[in-house]
Amino acid sequence: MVRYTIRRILLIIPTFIGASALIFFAGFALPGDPVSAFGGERALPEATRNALIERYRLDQPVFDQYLGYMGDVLTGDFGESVLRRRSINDIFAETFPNTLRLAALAVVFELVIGLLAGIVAALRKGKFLDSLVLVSTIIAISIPVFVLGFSLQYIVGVQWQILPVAGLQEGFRSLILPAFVLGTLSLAYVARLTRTSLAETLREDYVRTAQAKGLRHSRVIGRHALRNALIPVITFIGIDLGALMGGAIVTETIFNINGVGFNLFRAIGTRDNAIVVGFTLIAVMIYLTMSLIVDLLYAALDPRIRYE
Amino acid sequence: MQSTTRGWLRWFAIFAVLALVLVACGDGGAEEETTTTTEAAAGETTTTTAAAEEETTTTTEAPAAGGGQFSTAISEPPFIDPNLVQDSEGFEVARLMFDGLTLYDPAGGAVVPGVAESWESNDDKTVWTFNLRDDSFFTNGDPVTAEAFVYGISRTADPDTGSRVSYHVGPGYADVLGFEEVNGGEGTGVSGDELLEGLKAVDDYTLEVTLARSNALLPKIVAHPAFSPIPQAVFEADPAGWNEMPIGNGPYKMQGPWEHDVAIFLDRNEDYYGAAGVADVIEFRIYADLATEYRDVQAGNLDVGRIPTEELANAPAEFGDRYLLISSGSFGYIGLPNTVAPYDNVKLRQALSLAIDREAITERILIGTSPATGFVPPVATGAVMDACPYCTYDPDLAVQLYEESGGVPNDELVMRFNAGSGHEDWVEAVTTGWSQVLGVTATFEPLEWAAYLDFLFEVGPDGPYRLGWQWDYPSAYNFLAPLYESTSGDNYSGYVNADFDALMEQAITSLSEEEALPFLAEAQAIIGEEIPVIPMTFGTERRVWTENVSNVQLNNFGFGLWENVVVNG
Amino acid sequence: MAGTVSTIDPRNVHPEPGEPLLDVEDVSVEFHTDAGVVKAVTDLSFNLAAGETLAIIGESGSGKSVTAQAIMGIVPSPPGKIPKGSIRYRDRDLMEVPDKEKRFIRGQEIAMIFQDPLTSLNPVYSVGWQIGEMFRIHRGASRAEAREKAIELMERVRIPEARRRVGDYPHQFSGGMRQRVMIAMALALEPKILIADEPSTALDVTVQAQIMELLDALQQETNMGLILITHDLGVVASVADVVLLMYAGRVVESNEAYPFYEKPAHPYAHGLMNSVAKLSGSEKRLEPIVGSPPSLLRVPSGCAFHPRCPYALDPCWEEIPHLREIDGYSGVVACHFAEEIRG
Ligand SMILES: Nc1ncnc2c1ncn2[C@@H]1O[C@H](COP(=O)(O)OP(=O)(O)OP(=O)(O)O)[C@@H](O)[C@H]1O
Ligand code: SF4
Ligand SMILES: [Mg+2]
Repeated sequence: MVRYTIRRILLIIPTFIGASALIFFAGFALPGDPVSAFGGERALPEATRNALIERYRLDQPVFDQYLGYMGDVLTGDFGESVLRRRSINDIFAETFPNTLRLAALAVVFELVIGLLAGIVAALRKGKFLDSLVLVSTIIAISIPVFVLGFSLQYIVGVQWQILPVAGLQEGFRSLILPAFVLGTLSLAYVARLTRTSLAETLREDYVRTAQAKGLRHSRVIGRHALRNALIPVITFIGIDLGALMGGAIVTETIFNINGVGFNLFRAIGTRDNAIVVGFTLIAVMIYLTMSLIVDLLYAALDPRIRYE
Repeated sequence: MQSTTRGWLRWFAIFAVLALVLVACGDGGAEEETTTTTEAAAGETTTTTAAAEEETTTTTEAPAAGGGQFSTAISEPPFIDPNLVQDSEGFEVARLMFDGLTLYDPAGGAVVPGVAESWESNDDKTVWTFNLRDDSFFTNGDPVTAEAFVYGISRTADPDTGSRVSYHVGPGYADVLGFEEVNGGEGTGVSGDELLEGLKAVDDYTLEVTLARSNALLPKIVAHPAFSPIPQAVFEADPAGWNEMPIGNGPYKMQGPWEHDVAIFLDRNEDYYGAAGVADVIEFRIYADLATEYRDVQAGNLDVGRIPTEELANAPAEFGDRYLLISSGSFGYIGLPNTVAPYDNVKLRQALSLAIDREAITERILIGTSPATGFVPPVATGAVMDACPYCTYDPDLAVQLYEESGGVPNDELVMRFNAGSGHEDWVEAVTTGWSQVLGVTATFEPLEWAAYLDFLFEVGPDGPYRLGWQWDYPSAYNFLAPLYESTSGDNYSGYVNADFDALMEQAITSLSEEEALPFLAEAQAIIGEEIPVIPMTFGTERRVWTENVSNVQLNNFGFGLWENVVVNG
Repeated sequence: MAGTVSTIDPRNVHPEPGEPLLDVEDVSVEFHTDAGVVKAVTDLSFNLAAGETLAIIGESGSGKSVTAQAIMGIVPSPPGKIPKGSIRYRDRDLMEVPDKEKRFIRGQEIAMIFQDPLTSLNPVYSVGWQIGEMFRIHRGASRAEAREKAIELMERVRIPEARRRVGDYPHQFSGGMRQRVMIAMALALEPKILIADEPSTALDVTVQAQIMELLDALQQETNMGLILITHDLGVVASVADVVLLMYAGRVVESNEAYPFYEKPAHPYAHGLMNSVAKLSGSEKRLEPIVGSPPSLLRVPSGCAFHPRCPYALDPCWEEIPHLREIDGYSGVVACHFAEEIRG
């Protein structure tokens, strides 16, 4: 287990270097440069242009820029945006907590609603509740996020006025709608995954064994079936949390939440390379860490993995 | 081993609790912040609104005091540092925090005194003297002196500042003496350490500005935030923090640092020399999406907001007298390479312009703009209505002129534009019109932003392209000289006309804007005949608001006169 | 009497040999699947006494495991249904008793070893935990007590180094050891009846023998009634007292083991014996009965065996043969021409 963990951690290093190089050079392969992007429709005066190019090391060969950048990254400095003249660290520090809260609540929705729906559907397979879950998850999966977001904003926020339409001014209440919208897709997926996995597990021989042992139905389901059925579900949710922490472009934009995804998206649009590279790099790190945690969690949950 | 087999439920619970804790943790901060702001607002809401309502009839004068807090919306600007503000969003905020030498009269295009009580110039309009009032203070208590202007204006010009609006100080605009030396120089790595030769603080309250070229419009030009006074000591104490919370001398001041992508709160500046703002607190809430902003107004969470395209048709009915529409100073056009054959042929340019049905396009696609009938939006001083005789839709004449011109090679042309900014539909309508009316094969090609800039500035256009012009100050000159004068850096079409150039020279060296008007009118007549670019649209601005506020006004820049907004009790 | 468990003493002494334990009467089991109704078991009846070993034999799909599930009350439902019949354990009708009592009987009065030891243990719990669970749930033992009991049982079913391996997971054991774990679990509470569903088929020959020996020894000790489900006629010969031969969900022959073995009456039994004979001969190749077992979705009319029966005549198509005694044979058989065939 310890060796497995160490191996997995060591594996992160080359992955990170590879990803960073890819992201960095991809940023440079695109036409144009951040200084021109800053100038907009009016070309910048030459001297201003040069001053900016020098300040942001854009006159160095790309590879030197990469080395210099990675040197800074190792000291924890992810650079500065040419277009906004702000440190990437500051922007990230400001946006990540919002994204994290949003992701966390979305995952709570996935866990609570998704799991319950999936369990109910599996236990009532073929019955009304099962069909209800199947149909509503199909709907949830096929509605585009922005349509769902707009509709909920209009109905819950404008018509009923029971939750804020956008922003984070009202704390937890502000998070409910966006987190729900953000979690819907995964929630539906969790419900279906739980349903399939549990239904499959219920057919397993060891569930019959548990029944034959004279255990209470709830124990057969909860202790024996679910404990196995939820392994892929928990794994999925872990990976999903990693992905959600990378930011949610559409949800954050619609609900006006100053999050990682929205900032990254805007930076791509305005060719703000420093934000694109910095944010992507951090998101990759978070994702790698999350998948490491998920792997370890998986090993903890499934003894068959643990000893291999 | 037992521990792992024990309670998977516990794992699950721990996971859920952790997630909830994360959610809850973040909350504390947000809630705290919001409470402080509302408390601050609540403390002062007692001031009567009766007085305010009485005053709302006069639009130029703000009511004495009204109190309260309201919110209006902007998108996240890159800068609110007045020397760097480059978009209307930053401008909105900076305008309330900084008073320059002069101010725009909100009602029209004229200038009124700001920090400068009066100004005069020498005969050829190259040396201007501004007499400053002695009761304007930065909100840290420092007096606003001529030095602060010397420093602020020089800082805009300094290449180390990296300002996109430094051109305001340079040729074609103010053209302060010494601009080229500083702005075109090497830079020192420090912003604001090189002062412009043409700026001189004669004494604490007298500023002398020497220009490289005569300029009758200087008082109008220097109303832009790029010419704001800057408290040097404050800036130098924390250059990195300056853009987060600039200290100015306007009717409002920042309540706390800029909450990026969330909000900027402004408090009324109680020590302001001029008419005090009405509301105690103005919240500029920052939105990423117009549709969200609009829904927040509908829900009553945001007091004043803009309107997304899809709601433009419904908004007037839904908001009734809480809806405002004005025409603004933006100009959309199709550029043509005037020096490249066959676009050097006037008849071809005229034909292309006549083959566009602007009415239909603005009605159906570019909703929220009006069809351009000239080269200068009507709100700018000196605009000539219907200056463009070829801006009507006349297919027959278009065909005739097209044939006389000899047409484009192989009857094929390609229009370029920047992708992903909502131009696709109207560009397609234009090219379809050309194809149908003129019998050519007109196609279009969207380019990524960077590639488009490259196409415009480096390669040089070889066919029609789209661009827009947003005014810098409310004068027709600002729509003419930059775009069509042969020496201007913004003249991408390459239009050259000696008569036009001469008229521009005459206009700028006139004794006043008034006297320049005939030259500006004549210049518009020339380009109206020659069509160096094809005018497409004049912009408009709209706002809707809740019943929580009244007296919402926009000046003809399209900026809110937030200092006049009354918060209803 | 509803709800009371007092007549069954959990710490009961072992039953006397010959004491009647189980009475299965006229039980049918159906599965209502999308494809149709699978008649897995039809009109099944038999008795089991303490110390007795009943072997249920028959080809794959003949309904042996479903019979065991019906006794345990764990026929998966849906799709399973028991439209008729009764199963009596001592003085209770297992299909009538309340859930609580059903759970009480399951596991500690009647226990079962499942067919496939590879999949019948829960992969995420240690074997000690799974054995110990019996004591914790039914006897209220603490974790530590349960663990000790588990070790004891593991030793009793001869799992080497039981103390060291009690925390290991099923996948860390060989097939034979896993089957022993299953047996340990089933025997934990010293059930009166043990149903062993092919306890040895998945294992190699020596292990098979060891398992059978083990079961035999345990039966001697406790006098439990043993229902042994198997394909293996060799095992039947050595341990069974009574044989129940199933075909397509029905019992087609039932007799004491010895006479059955010597000369069975049903043509299907002949076929089975032949295939075994061939197997033990020089060719070492199983010669199965011609044709394949019928689909229980569409059981052939009349005698279900008729498509494969070398003796089939017209009546076999039309009329279902019922179990009956015939002259000169001690058991019962369901064949229209049993007398003639026996000659
Ligand atoms: N849950 C179920 N759903 C539908 N059909 C089932 C189910 N369980 C068993 N059956 C059917 O019932 C019939 C009898 O199955 P059973 O498992 O009793 O056979 P078996 O005699 O034990 O065979 P084997 O020797 O292969 O174990 C088979 O046709 C099987 O397909
Ligand atoms: S009843 Fe007929 S078909 Fe069935 S076993 Fe007897 S002889 Fe064969
Ligand atoms: Mg079976």
